[in-house]
Amino acid sequence: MTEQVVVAAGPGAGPGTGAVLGYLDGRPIPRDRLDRRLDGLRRSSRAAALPVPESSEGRQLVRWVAQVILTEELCATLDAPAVDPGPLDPVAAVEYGSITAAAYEGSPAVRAAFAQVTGGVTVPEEEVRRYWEAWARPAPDRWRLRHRLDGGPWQPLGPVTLEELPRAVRAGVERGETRAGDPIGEHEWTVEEIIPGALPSFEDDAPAIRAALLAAARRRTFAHWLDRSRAERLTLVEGLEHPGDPRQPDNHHKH
Amino acid sequence: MQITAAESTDLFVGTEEAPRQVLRVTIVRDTTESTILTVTGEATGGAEIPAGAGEVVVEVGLDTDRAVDQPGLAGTDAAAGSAPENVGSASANAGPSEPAGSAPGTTAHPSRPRPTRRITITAGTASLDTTFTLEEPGYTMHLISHFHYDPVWWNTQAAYTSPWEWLSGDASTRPLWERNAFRLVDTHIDLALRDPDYRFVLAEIDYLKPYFDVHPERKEDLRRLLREGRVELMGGTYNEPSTNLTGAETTIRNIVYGIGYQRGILHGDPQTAWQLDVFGHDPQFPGYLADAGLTGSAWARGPFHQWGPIQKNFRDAKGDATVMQFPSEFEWISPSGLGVLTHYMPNHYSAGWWMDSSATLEEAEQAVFQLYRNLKPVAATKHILLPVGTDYTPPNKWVTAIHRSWAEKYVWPRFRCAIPRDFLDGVRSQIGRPAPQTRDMNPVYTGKDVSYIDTKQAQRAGEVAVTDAEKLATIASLHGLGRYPEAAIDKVWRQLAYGAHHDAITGSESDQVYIDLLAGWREAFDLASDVRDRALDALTGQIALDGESVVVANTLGFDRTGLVRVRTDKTIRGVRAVRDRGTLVFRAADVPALGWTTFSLVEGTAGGWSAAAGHTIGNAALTVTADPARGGALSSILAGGRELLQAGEVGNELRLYAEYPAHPDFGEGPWHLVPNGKVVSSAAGAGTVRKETSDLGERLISTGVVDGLAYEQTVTLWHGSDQLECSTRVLDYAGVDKLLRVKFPIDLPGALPISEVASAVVGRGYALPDVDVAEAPWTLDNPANTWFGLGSTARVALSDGTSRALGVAEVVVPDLASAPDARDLVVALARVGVTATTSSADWSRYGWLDVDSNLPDFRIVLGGPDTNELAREILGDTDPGEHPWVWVPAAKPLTEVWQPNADLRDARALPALIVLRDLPALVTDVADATITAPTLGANTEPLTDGTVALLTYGLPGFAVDPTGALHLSLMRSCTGWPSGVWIDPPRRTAPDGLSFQMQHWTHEFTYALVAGDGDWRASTLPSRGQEHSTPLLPRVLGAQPGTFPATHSFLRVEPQREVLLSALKPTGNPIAAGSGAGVDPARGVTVRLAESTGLGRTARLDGFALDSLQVADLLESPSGPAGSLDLAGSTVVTYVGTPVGAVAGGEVLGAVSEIVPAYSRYWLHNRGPAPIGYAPVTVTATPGILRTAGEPFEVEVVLASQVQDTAVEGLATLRVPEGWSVSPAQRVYRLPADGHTRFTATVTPGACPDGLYFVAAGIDGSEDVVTVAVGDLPGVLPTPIENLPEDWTAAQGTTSVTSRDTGLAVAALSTSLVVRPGGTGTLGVTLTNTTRDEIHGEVHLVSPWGTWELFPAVVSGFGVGPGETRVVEFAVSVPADFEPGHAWAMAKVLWFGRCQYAPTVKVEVVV
Repeated sequence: MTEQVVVAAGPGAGPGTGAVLGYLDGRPIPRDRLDRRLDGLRRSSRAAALPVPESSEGRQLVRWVAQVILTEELCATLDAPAVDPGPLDPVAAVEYGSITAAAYEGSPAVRAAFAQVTGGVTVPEEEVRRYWEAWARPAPDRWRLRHRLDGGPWQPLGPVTLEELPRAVRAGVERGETRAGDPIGEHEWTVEEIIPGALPSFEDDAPAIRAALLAAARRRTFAHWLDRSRAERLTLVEGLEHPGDPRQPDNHHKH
Repeated sequence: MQITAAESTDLFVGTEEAPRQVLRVTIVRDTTESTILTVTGEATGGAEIPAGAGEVVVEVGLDTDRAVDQPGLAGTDAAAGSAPENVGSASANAGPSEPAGSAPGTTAHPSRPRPTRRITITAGTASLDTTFTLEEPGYTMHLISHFHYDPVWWNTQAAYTSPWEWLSGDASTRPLWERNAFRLVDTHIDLALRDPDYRFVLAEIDYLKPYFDVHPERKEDLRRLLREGRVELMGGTYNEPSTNLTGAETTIRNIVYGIGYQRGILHGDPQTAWQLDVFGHDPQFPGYLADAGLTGSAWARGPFHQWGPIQKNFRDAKGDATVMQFPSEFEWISPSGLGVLTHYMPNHYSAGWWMDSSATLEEAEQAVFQLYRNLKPVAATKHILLPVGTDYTPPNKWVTAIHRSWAEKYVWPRFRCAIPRDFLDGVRSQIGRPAPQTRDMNPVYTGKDVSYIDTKQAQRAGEVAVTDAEKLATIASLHGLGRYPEAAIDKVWRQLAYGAHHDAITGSESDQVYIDLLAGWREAFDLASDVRDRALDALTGQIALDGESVVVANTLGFDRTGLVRVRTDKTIRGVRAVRDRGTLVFRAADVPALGWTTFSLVEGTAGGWSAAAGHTIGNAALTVTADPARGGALSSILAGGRELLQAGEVGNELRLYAEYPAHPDFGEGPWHLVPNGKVVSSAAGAGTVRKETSDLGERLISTGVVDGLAYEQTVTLWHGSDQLECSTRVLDYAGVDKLLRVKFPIDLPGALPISEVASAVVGRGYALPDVDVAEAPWTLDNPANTWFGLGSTARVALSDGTSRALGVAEVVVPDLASAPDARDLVVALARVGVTATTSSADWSRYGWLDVDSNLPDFRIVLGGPDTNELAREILGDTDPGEHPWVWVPAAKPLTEVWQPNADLRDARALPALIVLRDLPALVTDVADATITAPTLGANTEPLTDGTVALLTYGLPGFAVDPTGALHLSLMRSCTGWPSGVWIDPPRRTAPDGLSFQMQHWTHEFTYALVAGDGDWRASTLPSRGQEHSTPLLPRVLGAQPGTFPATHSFLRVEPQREVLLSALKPTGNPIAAGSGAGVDPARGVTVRLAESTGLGRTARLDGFALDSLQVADLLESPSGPAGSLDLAGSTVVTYVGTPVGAVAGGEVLGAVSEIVPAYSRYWLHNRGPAPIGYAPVTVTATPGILRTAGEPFEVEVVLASQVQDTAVEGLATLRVPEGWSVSPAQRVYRLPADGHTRFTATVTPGACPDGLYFVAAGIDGSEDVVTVAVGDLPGVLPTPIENLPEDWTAAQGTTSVTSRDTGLAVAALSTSLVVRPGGTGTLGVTLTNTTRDEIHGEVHLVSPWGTWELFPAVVSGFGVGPGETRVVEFAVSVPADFEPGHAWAMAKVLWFGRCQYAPTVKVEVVV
């Protein structure tokens, strides 16, 4: 990480216990916000899953929560109009990492900032077409049957390709028959519908591709914006460094 | 205008054909107009100084004559340090295919001067005369995106593998873990689909199979990316196993199953073992890879301490890769002589990941450029690998942007997204013969050898049981006595492979994961023992016996004599025997190889053990005395009249080392040994010693207490044996952060440490066990397979009549370019057990403990003083004479310089063999493990020609200190994280409330001391190690007719004890590759042999008729006629042949399925690999949980087949609660080979009360279950996920003492059980179903190794109706001869994707 580390411990206190949890554009953010948030966590249903406060891992939790709050503060300065872009899907959360994901999930200001910062992101149409050309697949012919086994109740079957039908049924379907027997049992069926296959259609597929590419591009833009803003505008204090900062004493490589 | 600085860089602009090297000029502008900067002189160019004020840096591409400046100094660039002026080396002749480069593959040391050019820089009125340092163009750094995945570590298999909807914010049924493998595979594939520049790797089977079972459509994406060269399947192994802690066959099967899945089922082309995080490597591993057809390996831990030469290990980071003695690309060669091109990651496997946090692209680029500078000095060629990823990471944010933006700026170096194959192909294109390295890539993490010691014993038990089972089932099957149990054996090997993971058998895991893994080892052992017993019963049932008999079977390839224990009240006719606590013990002599002999049982009572006076016992070979005043330790061990112990010292002494909770400098937990230097010895206090004698031998039983640890040590001398059999029982123990070792201070001057690792014997360095790691962090404890000791694996016989042992070599060539010339020598040395680092005189010396993970004990210097500067330094003015090589003793004996924080780099710190000429003759001379040489000085460390070794059972950790003391690590109580971590609440502990990692229960450790004249070969120690680990198998049988004789051998491998039988099995592993073809020993049999002298032997298979015997690779594909079975030293060779006269018939000799229906998402049950048969066809239903107020809902079902050679047809059914309906309720299907199908079922709940219900989708033998919540169910349904940090918070586990309602309440019938030897009892769990529907599942009773016999059956199915309570019981049965002690057991309940753990039960066996 690139945050500048300055010493801002309060009088007589250890690192990270001063009155300031960090600086945004040089403005101190009061520490009590962090304490309240931690207190809430310690009272929550997840309390049993939290590390002992005095431990190295406990200090890492404090650092982590401090980063979440600073991320929220940073986004709040945009004063962006409240927009809810919807919850984060799990893959997006993995991409963001836990601090940004937590801030996004927990703070309307972060979601509003996301909407504002990424509102202008577009995906070039040639990207959409490239994706489509690379990954579009033709749809095969598919059958919808009614089927029953050994005289039991009728069941819907399909849509399926003929490949997905037991060989005896497939052969019967192809011959226009309605009964066949094999080791599975005695099959009876009627063909309800044949859904013809189709070549892929860019017009049909493009909206979903465009949306997926745009969502990914917006996530990346937001992540980059946050990284840059944090580097330029936040000043961290000793004891409340980024938990992943290898220079702080509680960051032990675990493997 | 001022020119304030001019800096040569190794950046190039222009074109590949005409690259221009960049000069970076700093200018303080005196005008705001743009100006022209020109460079003239021996290099020329110009650039525009941009408009603006103040200081600016301008990059100028320079044209220059790049002709050879320094002929003879070929070489790729060898840059070092941070100052660009110091970077680079000579440019040489430009080859046609290489851009203005030299012949790569040879590296010159960075301290060599580089060519320069005089230039004049002019800008406006300013001008500067300076020099410009030439650099090499043509470098490519391959950015390899990856994520490292551990299926088990602090978190559970379920949480690491897949997301599940039964996620709860309070972790009550599943921990929250977003970065699971499914989501990671998705993020990487998705990015590759979106971004054509993205490339990445996938690796381990433990996530690949689950992922593609659930997402079979994604195989098409994967294969397309494979075809495009954008993803590579890495590994060719099942996982990243700790192969230095397991038997060789376990490693071989790991490769078989990895390649089988990746190639056979996923259609990839694995070529490179990807062993990123493995804590040291078995020296034979590269040979196995080569023999399996793999061509490379890449990994990050081995030659240097944990994080490599650049990062911080202890105190300050070195920050300099050139402390390595050889380039990062080399040929890693095993003692068998086979090797693979290997890349060592000098900056660890996470090197390139951290630029992910860069705020800007420019910053990320600079971070990558700095990494390039760090890695380049040790790159063997102009291809560099940068791993971009770390544990469980999504794609790096910047990696493809760098790929694009850097290429726009510079022509060299290239930074490009790539797969490892691109990198290795590049290396191969530039390197003819890589530097040969046979170096031992150990010990790296010393704690791994002893943490959770019971799991290492369990692994050994499983390995022995399954190799026995394979042999016996093969033989039985060939005689028509049953069909080969392929599926059961397949599951056993997979469990062993799973458990061999570097966070499993290493003891690095959390407590909950330990419980899960123990269940797996037990399953492996039970399945294997079942096959072994069925096969042996079938075979011995055909022996013609005319009266009640004991048939004693031997599963090893040589005839042997050993002790047998039979639970009978009779005795043996004509054979001395003893009754010990109701069990008959006798010595079975000359049991034929892979066969049996028979003893007649007769009425009568053998004598027992009687108390005798004195503290000395003896037999023909040994006399041993214990000293009660010194804790009952041994004050004398006489072998043939020679005292083995050092004067004044005691043997079999227990030593309890105090440890830090975590390393005081670099933190971290159970994988480090962290002694603080304080040791308490059992010999410091008094103990009691009892002597007992019997017809069979004599024994001493010592008891005492050391530092609160109560022990009982029995040493036994059996008549007719030349081993001292030792058993140390830890009766009770409450210490924390303690390490227990047993010590034998041996008086064998001049001998060096040796050990077996998997199937090789190698010299090992001294260890330094008695240190404070805050001062001396590297103790050098090493792992061994079945034995270690003191002796010599090779020696130099000197002209003065003395010898000096040779253990570990540094082979020093004049310069790295000539390193390949040393290959024949280092291979010859490795074959006889001397591993070597090939280094060069002008590069770093091997021998500095501050960076090296092991040290050499002698040097071989190739070239005399005229060609090798180290030879010059060693010889000084001394005339080496006319002999082709000479020995120069060291300034001081090795034991004086090999001390904590040793630095042996000085030229005279180690003795050296200086090879003046005729290297081929030396290679020939090495082959008999003795080099003959004149010595230039007195040999101050003459070798005593003897061997003393400890044979061990599942106790890999050893240390031989410089005084010659053998230390065997027994056990450890380590509180370092993640000890004690429990993930799914409520937290469970051992009965005393502490972590299971404390091992606070009764343990028994067995080992045997062997002493002999000559080296380890003379004592055939590998065969004795096999004997010690592989018990003879007795069967009591009545009179019966039969066709087999009473004494019989099916297969004897000659020369006995020198070529060992590693495996006998049916040829092929079809399940591994997704084939339904099945195996049949009648069609083909595989025999794997291990040459166990290092000298080479010609083998013979006696008694086993095989037609058309062929040599095969490790995957059992034949490659040509076997001819005479010539095995070079230390080779492991596989043969296949067709048995003659095979007969078919009988039942399958083992389990064919587990409890059915098996839960298809087996990983959610934390139970290791897929169910028996490897789940070739799977069913999964989504979502895993849903809510309804009563309205209909849809369930999506996917059926997937990994069967590659046939289509599968069948019937899928959907089961819904009574009164509900589902459409379709059944569905016929056909899955083409490798195919899948997907369908949706609509479920309509009937009128029903609120509560939990279950919808099951099933196919033949397995099912998946959807949990349906009808109504609002606070307290039952998962609470919302709150975002919390993943690693550091989740990794602490839970402290909760309660669990939330899951729908099934689990309680133990009791939490303690006291039983007597010969007694019985019951353990049980109460299961109360609070849902509205039936629950079924399995209960596994988990208990530590050593207690398994108490619980004969540990897996039970259960079904419990809504509102019902059921008790699941497990019988407890204590054998009459079971030693008193205490341990524990815990029931683990698996159902519908949940795991619940019942309270721990303390189990005591009392007399």
